[in-house]
Amino acid sequence: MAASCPALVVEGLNIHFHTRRGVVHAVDDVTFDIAPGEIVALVGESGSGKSVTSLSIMGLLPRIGHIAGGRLVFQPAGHAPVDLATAPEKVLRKIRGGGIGMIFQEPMTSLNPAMTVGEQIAEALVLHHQADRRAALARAADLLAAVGIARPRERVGSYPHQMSGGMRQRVMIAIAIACRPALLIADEPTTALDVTTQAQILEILQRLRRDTGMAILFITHNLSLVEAFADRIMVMYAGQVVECGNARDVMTAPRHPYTKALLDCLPVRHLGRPGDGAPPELPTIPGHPPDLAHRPAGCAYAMRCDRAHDACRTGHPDLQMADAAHGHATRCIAWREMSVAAGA
Amino acid sequence: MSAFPLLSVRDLGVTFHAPRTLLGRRARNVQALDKISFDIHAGEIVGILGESGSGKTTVGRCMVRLQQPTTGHVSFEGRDIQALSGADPGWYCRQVQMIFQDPAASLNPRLRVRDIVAEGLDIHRIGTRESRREAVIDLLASVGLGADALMRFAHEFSGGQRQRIGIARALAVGPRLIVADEPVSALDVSVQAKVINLLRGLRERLGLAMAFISHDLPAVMFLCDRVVIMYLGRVMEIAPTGAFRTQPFHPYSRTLLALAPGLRHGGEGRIPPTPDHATAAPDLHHGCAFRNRCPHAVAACATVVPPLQQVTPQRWVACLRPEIFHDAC
Ligand SMILES: Nc1ncnc2c1ncn2[C@@H]1O[C@H](COP(=O)(O)OP(=O)(O)O)[C@@H](O)[C@H]1O
Ligand SMILES: Nc1ncnc2c1ncn2[C@@H]1O[C@H](COP(=O)(O)OP(=O)(O)O)[C@@H](O)[C@H]1O
Ligand code: SF4
Ligand SMILES: [Mg+2]
Ligand SMILES: [Mg+2]
Repeated sequence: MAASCPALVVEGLNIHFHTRRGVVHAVDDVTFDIAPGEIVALVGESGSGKSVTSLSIMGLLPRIGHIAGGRLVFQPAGHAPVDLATAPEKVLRKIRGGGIGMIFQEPMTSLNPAMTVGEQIAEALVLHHQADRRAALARAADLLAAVGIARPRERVGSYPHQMSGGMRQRVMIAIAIACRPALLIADEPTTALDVTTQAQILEILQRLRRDTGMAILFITHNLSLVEAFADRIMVMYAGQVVECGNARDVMTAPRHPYTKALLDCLPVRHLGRPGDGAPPELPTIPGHPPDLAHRPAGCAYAMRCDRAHDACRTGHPDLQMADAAHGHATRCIAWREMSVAAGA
Repeated sequence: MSAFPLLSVRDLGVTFHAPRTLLGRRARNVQALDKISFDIHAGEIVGILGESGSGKTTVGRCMVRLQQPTTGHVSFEGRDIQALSGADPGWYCRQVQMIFQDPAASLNPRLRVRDIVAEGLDIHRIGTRESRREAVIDLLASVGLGADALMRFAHEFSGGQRQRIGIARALAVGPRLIVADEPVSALDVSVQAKVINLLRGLRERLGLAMAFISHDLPAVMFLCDRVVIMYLGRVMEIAPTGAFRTQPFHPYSRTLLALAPGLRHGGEGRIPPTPDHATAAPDLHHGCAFRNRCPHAVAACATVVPPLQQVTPQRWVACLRPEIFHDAC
């Protein structure tokens, strides 16, 4: 990556939810940044804090949740940096859909069924004073073309229900990129789509970041999806980033036992050669993630970890560099014991 | 594998008739299944793979008599399951059980686990009251749950545990075939692995046959003996899993294997993205359902419906251009 300054810097982010069961520490000391033109994947199982992290960046946390600490500095090229954690709602509203675009898993719930897709794209432009109504409608067709929709001039007049799931997700991308955001946040954008459509959407996102230099925070629970797609991977567990680094390094030489265990669970890694007979059982991870209202002392993964030491249950492992040259860091104190060939 | 299949699906068709809208307009009827045929043998796990909307759930529902076929039939040990009468539908219900994708929605929230699992035993009056209690404890143990689960409600369990309860309920009546509709799709990766192991273990221990309905190619490749590849309501290919993985025949199968993340083979280049016009469904009255995404399509593909043909002793393919894979046969 070029040494340009990052589009987003997240530093020591903590998010709490005040619930009847107590204070839920949904996000705990999360730190990362994303450079312009970079694709960073945030992966983890459900409840690990991926969506809460992304909602906080957009200032869309539900009322019972709040940022209990940390900074979220958004710094698009040519603009003054803004700390999204403390910025007033008026500023956040301008940034949402402007400097930061977003797409979600289910495009149908985010699209207005009573408006044509052209009007919805145009609305995003007008709202952010990028164009007047007429110019905006003209640009809507260009945007549909940019996300690979054929006959865009006819399609601007279509309603969401007249489109397939894959096309609706493209419309969502068109809306999200309408104001040329410096950062795009995509929360499970392909989870509801089949593999062929999924491949197309990933291709469009790759092309957009190449052409526009926009940074992408890509959230998914699907590890095998991101190896070829993302530049860097961050693995979340129980509200913490437990491992991060170059996508290929994390996938082929994980330095955190949780990442390794998660990769080992994937059926795709256990398809023997045909004729070998039935492959063995899939490896599994014992137990389940901790209750975030009652975080255990020490490493959050210790009670499920096959390498846990006594020190793991008392200390509080920080994210530490395992391979500085590749920016590969882990929140495991025993990472040196993991063979580098693991998972290969 | 015995020569006669346990269950046969033959030329199965299901058409959903669209209701008249308020304005009196008639929406198009949906042909969810179009002449589907395949077999499942005793003790065999058959994967039914296809993207969403390809008709997988509809086939599964036909197999357990929840959906009436419009044409064709399903037979179990040679008997047409639609023609069953008298005590036989009850008998069939004990032979073939279904488990569902969303364990939360498929378990009665007002019943305790004990009653959910015992439901089938009660309905079919299997055993005495005392023996049923014993049976439920054994069933829970066989899916990895302790007796402490008995008096709790389904919502008190995690997604993976609820799926285990659903499996225990299905096993209660001693079925020989399980129709599992996306049983792991809603679960996290680490929980998926546990449920997949459980399903495989049941086959090993009980000799159960299974229709494993899924859109997850790697999971199907791992668990299943054979695969049935569906696309827009039709069967494109039937093959043993191993042979399918090394040498998919149908152009759609090839696309699937080339695009599945993690399965992509090093040698295989990137498949060019499908042109956008292909995202609209083709006219299914004529021609191959896959033609507008197929890199090998010729003029005939738009007019002739390719029949499902046996191309090797164990493989069937519905494609008008067998020369594409002929060398491999
Ligand atoms: N509205 C909410 N009320 C209470 N707790 C919540 C709420 N939303 C999220 N959480 C907590 O935050 C954690 C992380 O949630 P989320 O970010 O949605 O997970 P992910 O997107 O990784 O599946 C959850 O485990 C839950 O404990
Ligand atoms: N009850 C129904 N009424 C009308 N259309 C239906 C009904 N059930 C399914 N369909 C349609 O039939 C097709 C196949 O659906 P389904 O069997 O659910 O596919 P899958 O399980 O592969 O996603 C889809 O086009 C779906 O919209
Ligand atoms: S019949 Fe034609 S369109 Fe269909 S898969 Fe074969 S070559 Fe492709
Ligand atoms: Mg989420
Ligand atoms: Mg279905």
